Amino acid sequence: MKFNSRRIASLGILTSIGLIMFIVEGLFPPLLIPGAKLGLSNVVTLFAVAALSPLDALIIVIARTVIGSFFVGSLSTLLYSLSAGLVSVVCSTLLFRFCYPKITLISISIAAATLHNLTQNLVYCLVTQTPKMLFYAPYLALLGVVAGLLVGVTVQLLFKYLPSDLLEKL
Amino acid sequence: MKNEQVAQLKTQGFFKKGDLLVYLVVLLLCVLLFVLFVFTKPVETLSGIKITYSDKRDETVIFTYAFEDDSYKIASAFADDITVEKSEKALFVTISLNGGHNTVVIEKSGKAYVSDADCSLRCDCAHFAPITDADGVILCVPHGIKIEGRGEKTDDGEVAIG
Repeated sequence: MKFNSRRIASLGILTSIGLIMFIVEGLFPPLLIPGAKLGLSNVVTLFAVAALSPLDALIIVIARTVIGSFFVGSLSTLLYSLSAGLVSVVCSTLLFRFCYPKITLISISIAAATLHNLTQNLVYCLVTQTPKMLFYAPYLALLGVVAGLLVGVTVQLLFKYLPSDLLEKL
Repeated sequence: MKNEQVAQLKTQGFFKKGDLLVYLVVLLLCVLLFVLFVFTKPVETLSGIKITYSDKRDETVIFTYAFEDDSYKIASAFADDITVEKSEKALFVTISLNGGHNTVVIEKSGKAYVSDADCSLRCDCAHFAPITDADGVILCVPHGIKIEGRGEKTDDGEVAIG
């Protein structure tokens, strides 16, 4: 698949939307658990998996986490976000390719968000060499379910209400 | 996207039978994690607090506190960077390193938490659950500070300071 101007423009717009969500969300205090957030930028990732291609979704995640870490974070933030983002894209892609439409985008999103949070927790434990932090893993998994539900419903509504003409041009 | 693909995405519902399998797997995963890391976690009484500083190469114990005799030790190399204020019920330990600071409150009743820090906008370290048992831990990655609970059975014995 070639990188024509339409594809590059789509990737640029989706990356920018994801980046804004990533940065704005990073300005708020964590949700109940240290480091936790809803991961609203995953709306863009799931949208890209369904509407574009896995490669496009990967490009968006890599660009968003690398640029986002420059604005609100550090090298360690990049490690957690990137690894979790990649696992999330792989999970969404596999489920979308092999199970959709037998399952909905909502369940794909919930599974991906749960794995996203668990990967982030695991990488955090490894980077900081603090296995005690695994204590937060079950709570982060539960938060992943809530976040995945929100993201999944949002993406489903996006597909429902965005004009067909626009979606067909992607 | 192809017309059929758009039509399929536009008309999909919010639930399909196949979702049940995904939800079951996620539920089992959550239950397994709770069993492994929360329900079966041995709870050891908190006997002290250990604070370490990591500069990406070495990890150094810079402060220890013992609840039993209400005593603390500061690593001599960090004596200028750590200030301790004592009140009747708590110790306020302020660690000022590399231009930033973290204030750790150690309540004599057996509890420790970060009350204030300037590590990031989100200040994750100030949102950790308070340390109330020997397994408790609070991390401040930007400042390289780790606050850990210590118990009677903690095998590192007397912590070498500094």
